[in-house]
Parts: sequence; structure tokens; C-alpha cells
Amino acid sequence: MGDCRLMVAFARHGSMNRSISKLKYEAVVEVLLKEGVSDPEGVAILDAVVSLGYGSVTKVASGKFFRLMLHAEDEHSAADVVTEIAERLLSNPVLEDFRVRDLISANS
Amino acid sequence: MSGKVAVVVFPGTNCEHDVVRALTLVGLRSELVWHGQGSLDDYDAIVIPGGFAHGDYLRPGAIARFSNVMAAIIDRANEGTPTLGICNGFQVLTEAGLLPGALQKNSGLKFICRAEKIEVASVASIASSTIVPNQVIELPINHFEGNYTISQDGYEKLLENDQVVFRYLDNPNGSIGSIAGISNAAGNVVGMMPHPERATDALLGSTDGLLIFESLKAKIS
Repeated sequence: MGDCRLMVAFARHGSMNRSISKLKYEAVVEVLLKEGVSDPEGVAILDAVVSLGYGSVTKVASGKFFRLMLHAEDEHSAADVVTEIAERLLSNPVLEDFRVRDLISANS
Repeated sequence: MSGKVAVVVFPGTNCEHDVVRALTLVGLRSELVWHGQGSLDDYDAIVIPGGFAHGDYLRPGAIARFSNVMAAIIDRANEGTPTLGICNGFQVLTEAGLLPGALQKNSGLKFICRAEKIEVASVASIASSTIVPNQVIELPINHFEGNYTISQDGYEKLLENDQVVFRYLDNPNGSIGSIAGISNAAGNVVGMMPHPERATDALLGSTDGLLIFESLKAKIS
């Protein structure tokens, strides 16, 4: 219920930003399984890595990677919006942790 | 109120007609409801069938939870309306926060499609109210992300509140406590990975699925 309204709020927020012509940012969000949550995909990839002869590799963690382009007043508000999106949509807090990284100005 | 069940259809849902047929078999009227619909006031129960809502993009159920109909489902579920999510429907209910925990990829990393023996662990829910406690039934499963995951504290809370409704006898996917289905604390919202609508005809191997729909019917009329 709250989530649906939040998405509407995001949509409005976005269009408002465009009309006031704010700065452009690019952010990368990384989503990985929490420590302790089983990662069968990571284990399967590790098996393949080891069978290729890379016996020095001891762990592979699988995850997701998202690149977002957005308009914001400054780096702070861009980071806030991206963090909120990562919390509400891009990750599931039961299984996953996320990290917003590489927030960069995309103005040329 | 009309004794009618809403069978919710997202883009990618694919078990809706089987659910309608199963509901008809136990004498319940139902209608398909498109996910863009904003109100479910005309219905006395809600079923979210299996499939791949919104292509399962991001995570199963993650996009579906932002469909218009979800606000209505959340409102009605919180008012006590019987709400059953099957397979992908279970994933949608956890993503929407109506049920605790999450469904992760199967521990063996394989899509599993076969009949499983399932113990009815609680008869306090809308999906099990007319079943004999601890009865073992047989239902098909058909999923890749059915590995029920919750924190240890969360799991203990489920046990305390009698929220574990169905358990696999032979855990196929790594679920904590062999969980195949759970309810919310009130018992009116149930999510289950097995497909009861696919076990409604002896010709197809089992009619045990009818027990779930008969329980639902008992909570409506």
C-alpha cells in the first residue's frame, strides 16, 4: 500500500526534477546476498572456477548490479533517492544487502 | 458480498484458469481480475495464482507488488479477507510484506516439477481449516525459487503462532523447517509453493488439492 504511493511519489519527483533542469548523476547499486544466506549460484560458479584450474579461489558470491541515471539538485539528494530505490525495490531486505557505489556526476 | 472469489491476473500469470476450474469444482464462483484494477470490494476472497508475474524480473513478485491491485489486496487482507497465494502468488505476498520471509533459489539450483508429499502442519488457516491435522497429502510443486528463507527469530515466531501450514516430508528445495506454506498471524493470508489446483482430478494423480479449496470455501460461506 505504502509502496504503491511511494512509486507515484518517485514518478512525480522525477518529472519535477527534469522541469527544473537539475544536475545529472549516474549511480551504481550492487546487491549481494546477506552473509549466512545460502548462495547456490555462487557455489556452482566456484565449482566451475576451481575445475578450470583456479584452485586459489575460495569463494564466489553472486549478485546483481544496476546502473541508474537520474537528475538531482546535488550529490546528496541523488544518493538519497538511489538509496531509497535500492531499499524499496532493488533489494529484498530478508535476503540481500545493497551498496550504492560510484555515484558520479554525469554532466559533460 | 456475493461469495465470489477474485483470481488475480498479472502479465505472466499462467495458472489462473486452473484455479478458476478448481474453485468451480468445489462450488465457488470466481472472476479473473486484471492487475490494473484498483478495487476488490466485490469479492469475498482473493487468490493469486502461479506463473511469472511481470516476467519475474528483478525477483519473483518484486514488480508485481507495485501493480494497482496490490493496494486493494493489502487493504482487504488486513481487514481479514481470505487471501491465498500459490507458487508465484506466495512470492508476491512475501514481496508485498503480507507474509514474512522470502523465497530464494532452490538449494540444488534446479527447477523442480514433481509431486511431493506434504504434511498439513496447522489447520488454523483459511487454506487448511477443514483438513485433518497432520494429514499427509500429495501436491505437485513446479518452481525454481521455492526455498523459503527467514531469520531464526522469524522462524521461531512462525512456530509460536502456529503459522507453518504445510511442510514437505522430503524437503526438495532447502526451505527452513521444510516449509511448503505459511500463513500470517491471523491465519487469513496463506502462501504455498505447491499447486493445489493441479491436484483436482484422479486422472492427474491426486485430488488432494480440493481439500485446500474446500477449506477456503468454508471460510467464505
